[in-house]
Amino acid sequence: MRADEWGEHRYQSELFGPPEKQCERRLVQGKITRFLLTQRSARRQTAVTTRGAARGDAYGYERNRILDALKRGGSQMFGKIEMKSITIRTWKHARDALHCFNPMARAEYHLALAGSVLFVTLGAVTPPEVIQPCCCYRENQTFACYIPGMGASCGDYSCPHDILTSEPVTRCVTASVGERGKRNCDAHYEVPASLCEMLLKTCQPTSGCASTGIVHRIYYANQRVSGLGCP
Amino acid sequence: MNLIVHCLAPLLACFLGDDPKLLKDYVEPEVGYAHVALPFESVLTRSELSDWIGILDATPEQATAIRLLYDEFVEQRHNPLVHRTAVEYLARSAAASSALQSHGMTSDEFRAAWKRAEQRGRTLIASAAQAELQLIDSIESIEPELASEQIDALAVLRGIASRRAAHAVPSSSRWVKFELRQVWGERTCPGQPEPDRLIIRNQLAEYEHELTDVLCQWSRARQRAAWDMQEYLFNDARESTALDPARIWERSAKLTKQLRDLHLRANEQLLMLVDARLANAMRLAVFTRLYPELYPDTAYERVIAQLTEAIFSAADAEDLRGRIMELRDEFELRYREMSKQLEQVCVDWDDDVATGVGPATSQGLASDLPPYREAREKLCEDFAKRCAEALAAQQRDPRDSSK
Repeated sequence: MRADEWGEHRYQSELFGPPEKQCERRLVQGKITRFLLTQRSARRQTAVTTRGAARGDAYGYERNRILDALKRGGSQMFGKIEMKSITIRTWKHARDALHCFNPMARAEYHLALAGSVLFVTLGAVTPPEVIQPCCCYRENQTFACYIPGMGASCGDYSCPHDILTSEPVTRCVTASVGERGKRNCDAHYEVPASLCEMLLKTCQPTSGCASTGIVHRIYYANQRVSGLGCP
Repeated sequence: MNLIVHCLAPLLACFLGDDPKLLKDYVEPEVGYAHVALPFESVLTRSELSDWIGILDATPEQATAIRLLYDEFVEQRHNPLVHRTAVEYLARSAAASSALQSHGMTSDEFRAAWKRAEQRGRTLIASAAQAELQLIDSIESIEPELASEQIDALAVLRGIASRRAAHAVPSSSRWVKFELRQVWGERTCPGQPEPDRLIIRNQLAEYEHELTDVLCQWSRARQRAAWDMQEYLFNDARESTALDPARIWERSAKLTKQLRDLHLRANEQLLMLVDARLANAMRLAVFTRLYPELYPDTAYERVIAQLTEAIFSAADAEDLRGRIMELRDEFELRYREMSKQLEQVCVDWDDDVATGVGPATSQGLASDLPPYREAREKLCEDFAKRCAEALAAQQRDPRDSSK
């Protein structure tokens, strides 16, 4: 399947239940990424049934299925990826998190789960630290997204964030041993940094993408090689 | 001696006085912060203070008194306020970011954390603006006393302070960020006779009065929209949606257009106040700020230089000179038309971004423009070629073109 076809994978609500509300990717302290999904309707979620073996027996099997699929999807998106751990607190949204993350994996994974939140912790992911909504909605259809870099992309239905600032900046920091600043700024040192500032967008049912009005900022300690703040 | 002290005062202040603190001086690297409006994002700087002194047309003695008030403002009001509150605000903002990422945008956790950060941010923006307005009030009572027209000019400074607070809401829109004073300010238009400068100054003040009003409305509308959007997303996740995102962003989008109309209209009025040569330079300066993707255009400058040189070199060949002048007029006309189309592309793109529900992003314009820009470059190339051909033909048969 080509990357540009991924946007055409329509959400099969009759099979998988209601569409996911949002799916976000997070990198904590520059090294750990979490995937999280919250669902549109908890009430309807409880109606999702399990199939196959008894739930208790299926846990280990499903856990490995998710891990494998995430590894495959993650490798496609980020290159080399190292799976550190997977913590499945409940099963409610595991399937949707997986679908949000990788439509290709979604196509392969058909077992409905009844849980709550899936946390997946990945290590050594580059490039990091961008909040990305990765589900798009148009004409009563939800589309899973391919995430090539900045923002979420699923063909015509993408919701990339609005970049307000992506540039090298300077910051004053408290001087400490071994710290080298360019000039003294009031008993502190001015150090190079880079700033990524984005106006977050999200997908919503009527027109596909909507600005949230929330500005997300991250200062990076050192100026990136590209000279840009946003990865 | 007095003169030396006055000249050195700003220089000494730079070395002796504290720099005003900003929010970025307190951020932790690699930590995400979620905001709607950012307190302490911008502050009156020493350089801007020099502009203020220019706006007031202050005497050297008055300038010294204003600078002392500024030092006091930084050391006793602004910096302690930032120092006292920035870390706590940033902690709230980081908590909101963390809740956003770990619990999702429609979660109760994010809603609560975001509300805490947003309310605190709003209070701090108001406090910072209040401190700046107090500084302006204290300028009113300096010694030597301000003349009545200087007191009137304080309204301009109050407008700047209000707009600084409005700009606490970040935006990618050129129409929100732009101000004509950046080009038509005190340090520009050198050589203009004093009466003309006074008219420009009054016109600018009138424009800024309206600008402050619209910009503050925009800022409020934007903050309101961000809040309504959260309500919408929160309720939509629980299947009780009464709001429509397109309508939520409608007001701020409309105000962005209003800002654009205001900038362009006021600029045209200002251009009418200066002679044609300066008007051309000022128009270019304004458009360079407004459309950095389009101006300055080196290809255009090259062709104009080539045509002008050709006109000079054809001084003895009247027919050729006439033809090249016609060529220049045609080029100017077509170039202007094409540039207007390009400007319209930018405007349409901005409008789409401002709707809040379109697929356009501010960073996307850069990849959308090249085909249009290439057409303009091609036009420049064509005219450069036609000019060269006309000159070559003249060299081949001088009798054809000379009288």
